[in-house]
Amino acid sequence: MDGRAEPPAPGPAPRGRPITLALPKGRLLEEAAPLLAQAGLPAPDDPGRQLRVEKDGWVYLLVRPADVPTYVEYGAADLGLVGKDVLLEQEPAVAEVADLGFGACRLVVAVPEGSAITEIDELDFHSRVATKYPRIAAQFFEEQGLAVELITLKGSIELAPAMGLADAILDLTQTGRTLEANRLRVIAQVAESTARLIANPVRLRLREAELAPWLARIEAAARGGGEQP
Amino acid sequence: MSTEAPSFNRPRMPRGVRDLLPGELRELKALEERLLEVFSLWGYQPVRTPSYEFEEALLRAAPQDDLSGWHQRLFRFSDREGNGLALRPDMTTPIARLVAGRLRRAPLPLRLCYAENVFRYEEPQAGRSREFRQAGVELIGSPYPEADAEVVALASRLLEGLGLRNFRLEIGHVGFVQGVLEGLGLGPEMERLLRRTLQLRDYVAYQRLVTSAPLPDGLREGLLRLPSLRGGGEVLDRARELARTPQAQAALANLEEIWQLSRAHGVGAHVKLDLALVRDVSYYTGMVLEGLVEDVGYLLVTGGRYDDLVARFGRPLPATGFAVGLERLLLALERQGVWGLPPASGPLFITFDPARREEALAAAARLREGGCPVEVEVSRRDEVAQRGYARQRRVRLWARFLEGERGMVRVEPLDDEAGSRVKPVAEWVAEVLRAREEGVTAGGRAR
Repeated sequence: MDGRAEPPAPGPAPRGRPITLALPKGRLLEEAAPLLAQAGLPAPDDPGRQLRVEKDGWVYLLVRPADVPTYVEYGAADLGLVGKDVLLEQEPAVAEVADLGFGACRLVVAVPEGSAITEIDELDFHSRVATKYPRIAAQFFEEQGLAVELITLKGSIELAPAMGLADAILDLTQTGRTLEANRLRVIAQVAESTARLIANPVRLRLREAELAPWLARIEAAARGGGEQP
Repeated sequence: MSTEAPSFNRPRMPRGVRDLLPGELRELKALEERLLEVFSLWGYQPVRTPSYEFEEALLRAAPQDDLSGWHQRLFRFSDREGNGLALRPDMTTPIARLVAGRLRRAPLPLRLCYAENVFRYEEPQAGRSREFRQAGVELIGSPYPEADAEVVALASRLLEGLGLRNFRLEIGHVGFVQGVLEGLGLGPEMERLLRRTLQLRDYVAYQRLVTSAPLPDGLREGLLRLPSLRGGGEVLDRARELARTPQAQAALANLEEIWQLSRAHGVGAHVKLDLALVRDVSYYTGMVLEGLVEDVGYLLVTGGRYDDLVARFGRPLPATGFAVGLERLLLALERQGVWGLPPASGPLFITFDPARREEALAAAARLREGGCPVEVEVSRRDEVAQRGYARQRRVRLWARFLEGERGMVRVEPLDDEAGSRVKPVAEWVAEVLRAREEGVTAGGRAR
């Protein structure tokens, strides 16, 4: 936090209790792996189907992205790596330590290309909006003074308008290609998201001496923007 | 919910509350007793207030700018006259009311303590229930750091005495963060945002706010370092460059005295400074306190100085105190393996044939008078059923008053003992009572 830049890799193995880091399975993890390696965290051997990998004083938990804050909040993990979109949706009691910059996406409201709707204000209480972010959506539409009907789905949100389930969707988009492929047009941006490093607030305070150098390294690696040292 | 497995109209439980079974309650009660014993060693006297009060009274603790937020967190209802009532969300507010009211003639300082249930209408999440038990102390009537240091020392000795390891009490000061932020001239809205990000420990947002704020460079760097002002006494020196307003300087001087005093109390090893500490409770006006331990991921102890709260009930009095969550504390102690009562010894079990019931009940009465827990048969079961019950209930002894054994009692073997023994009733009662007496003196207080 105080921005001390530590020399990158390899880091000293943490002494005593291992540091537990919850990682989101999937796209974000692929982007995170090189950065963590650059910060000097031991590279786990191919985890295969294992959900818990231990290596040189670190324990990596491989969990669903939406479960990362839960592991950290309850202290089952000391640290976690997760998209800001998940934090906005869950508002967990965790410390947000660093914006790692990668994994940039936007939360947007989109309608079918052929829809007559061009602005968010045109959605009314007849309008159904499909999303897997019910909390963000409720808050967003309330702030806009709009009373829409929210439909919560677990995935494949893009399908809902095509099948007449919803008039619009509120979803995450990275490049816009998925939206394009599903003939959806963005009418409003709700929030921006990047990968965040989070910590259990109690562990962050009690294990400060062990954690602080690592947090600084990870931040420094993130600031390096993937450049080789 | 499902119709597949009929549950015969079993009632559901509201979210965020739970039952405590005999084993759990025994642990929690024992812990609570220990806490109250320690409180009384420091001169604190227990008080109890009603579980619910007028909503208006409880809302006096709320900040003016977040009245609706506090309102939301109360369990509210009304009486038949339509008065708004609410369950108490903490004990500090009712005690402030008590001190301004019925206790207004009591000599100061007042040292009060409690162990009661409190109720908060919050989303149940990590370590949070909607009803939980809190124990705590309030030291009312002294504005001096000696009082804050006593509260910190008491919290520390309390946890130490319970055998808790690796815990830490972190102290900060509301006036420091406030004084530093006000000195920047960024306006109340920005100050509120910065305080909020510090409270949530959202360092990403904090850094962004500080980086984008119109500030001279030297000050900006100082402010970016604020969250790292944590540790021992050296932190106070590092904090001085940030303390540019009289309020911030006074807060720092106050904290330094509390810090020195807590060392004099001999609890320095457990106390650390955290100058960026911001508590969400608005009535704090001075030192704030949080207690943590690695084994549970949430706060164990919370507290601080609240010099304006009693005044909101009509009697200006400075005060300070802390509360500890009993369920959380028990969890931390159990995780560290430092808490464990000796297994509860079961009761004596007395059964009898109808012809001997007077004798059996009289023997049971004598045993209870001598402090022996006794259960007597009330279900008219046969021998096999009684034996099964005695095993399951883990009774200490099973004594049978049988029709064919006048004046005698048959003590049945349980588990590994050999065959049953038959003894004269009076002799047996005396023997059991003697054994209990010896057990008490040998093993301290038997619970």
